[in-house]
Amino acid sequence: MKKLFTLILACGSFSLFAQHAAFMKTTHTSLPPKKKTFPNSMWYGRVGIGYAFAQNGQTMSAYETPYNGSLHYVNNGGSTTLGDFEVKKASFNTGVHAIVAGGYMFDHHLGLELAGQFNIAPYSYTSNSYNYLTGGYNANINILSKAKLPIMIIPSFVLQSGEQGLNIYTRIGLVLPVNTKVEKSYRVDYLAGGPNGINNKEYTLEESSKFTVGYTGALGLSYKTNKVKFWAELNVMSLSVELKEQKVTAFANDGHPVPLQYVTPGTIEYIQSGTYSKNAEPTYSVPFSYVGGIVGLAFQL
Amino acid sequence: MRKIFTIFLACSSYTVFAQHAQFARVHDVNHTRNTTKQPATDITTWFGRVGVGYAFTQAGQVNSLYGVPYSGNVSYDNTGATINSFDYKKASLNSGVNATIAAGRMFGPHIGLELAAQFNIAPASYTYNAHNITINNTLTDLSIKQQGKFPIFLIPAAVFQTQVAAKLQAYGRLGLVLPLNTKVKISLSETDATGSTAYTAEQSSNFSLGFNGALGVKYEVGSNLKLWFEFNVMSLSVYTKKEEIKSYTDNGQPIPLYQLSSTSTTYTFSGSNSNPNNGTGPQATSSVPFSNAGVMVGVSMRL
Repeated sequence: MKKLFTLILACGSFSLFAQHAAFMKTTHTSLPPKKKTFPNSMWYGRVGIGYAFAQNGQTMSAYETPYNGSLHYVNNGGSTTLGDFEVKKASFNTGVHAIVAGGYMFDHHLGLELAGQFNIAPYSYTSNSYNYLTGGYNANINILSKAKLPIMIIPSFVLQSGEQGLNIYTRIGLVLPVNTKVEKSYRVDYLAGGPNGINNKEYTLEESSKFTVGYTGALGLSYKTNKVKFWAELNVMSLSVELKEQKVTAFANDGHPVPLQYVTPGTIEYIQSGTYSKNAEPTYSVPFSYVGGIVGLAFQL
Repeated sequence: MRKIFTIFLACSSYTVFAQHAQFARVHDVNHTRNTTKQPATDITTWFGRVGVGYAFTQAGQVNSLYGVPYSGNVSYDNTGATINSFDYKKASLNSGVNATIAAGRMFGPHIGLELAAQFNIAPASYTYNAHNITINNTLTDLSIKQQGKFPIFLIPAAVFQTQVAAKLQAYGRLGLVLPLNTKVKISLSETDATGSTAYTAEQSSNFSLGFNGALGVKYEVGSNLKLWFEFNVMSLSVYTKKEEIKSYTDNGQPIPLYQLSSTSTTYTFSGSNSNPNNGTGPQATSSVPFSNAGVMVGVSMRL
């Protein structure tokens, strides 16, 4: 149903822009020639850089593990229960963003744009669980999670109050995630020795996700000089992806690397429905939403 | 830092809107004199609009508190140790039939401000069923139903519009979401070899700011009346603050709430269980998804 809506939106937009182009052609050819300080229709490019904060983020991943925070468990008979805790919101698209975009304005107010957005310095999140009972052993678990250069392609509509001087604009579009991989360093320190006398285990994991369409919007100010336009905006992205696969990329017991062919399971597939096994588990959502500020330059192409 | 950004944006927007209104007043007098592109009725005018539509889960979550899925089924084997099969789905508690009522002012032919109230008049409900799950060392059939309880949002937004044909306008809207009501109704039932228990509860959340955007078209059907159709999105997660039991039954018999050892649980971002062994202290909060993507149709009128 959502795909149908996206299709309708795309077709509707195409028809709208075609109408708009025809309308502009008619209207403008009937008007007396104006002194052109800036063409009505133009191709443009823009670049920018900014910072994004977690918005609409999650506190917990699956299995009661926080993305960002700490849990202290206390012994309670043969099990453990939660004592002190601190959890924070997390989104894997937080960090320093760079954007490169190109677009076409049909007149001074309406345009289309295609942008590539790169999170060049993703924020890393730390989760600590103390005295956690895992496989019958009490252990401290430390997980460091960080996205691996998230890249998004963003086709969007641009609406602005005008072209010259100071103006306000908005941009609303789809988010097509190209890369939403997340790297994790996972360390288990057994408090009183673990299985086979091992004291600690270290994994490096890489997680990939299913393709999911998200949405983005921006509200900003632009100021045009003779040659370039300066812009500053507040932008938001709404995107959650679903985990598809987790792969062990490195493993060590007590600091000694273990060849990956001996790591079982080396890969876990995450699925929405199916049969549970050591290689297949239920998927869960991974947050990529944010709110941020970005500044940059736009120029006519 | 986010608050500073929001304040900065609000102040800047106000300045720009004020400047734009002044500019439009001068410019559009000449503009409308020279061209038929923009109907004069859209220049500096108050407007109202109403609409109804449907919203689908977007940027939702699979799991709720304690990693329990919002929606789907899971079946464990007869030992309760191994999952035989599962089927989980994403959820957003703001999916369903939404109605909106809004009023705003255009500061010229292209930009304006609006304040909308959005009501989810028929929220989608989500059910999770677990067969043979182990609870307190006993194989249990568990069912949890969750549904938003008439979610209400206030949405101040900036509006942008432009003429695309004689009677057709395209518009975009981007604004903040101020959640007024994000309560969630919960119905839980457990059945094991010894009998069944069930309770209903209400979950409330901390206030969180969200964002809303829309892209649509308006068609003029009269001098003061327009039909509109839009595609809109909302980005919002709230964080569980409290869960309160409203009714409790044991084998179908109602149990007075005062007989329960505890009827409410608080959830916080950080805390300390003074007596973790009885689990009565605050618990770690978890995000509750309210994001959606939807379509809406309605009418707008000049006030």
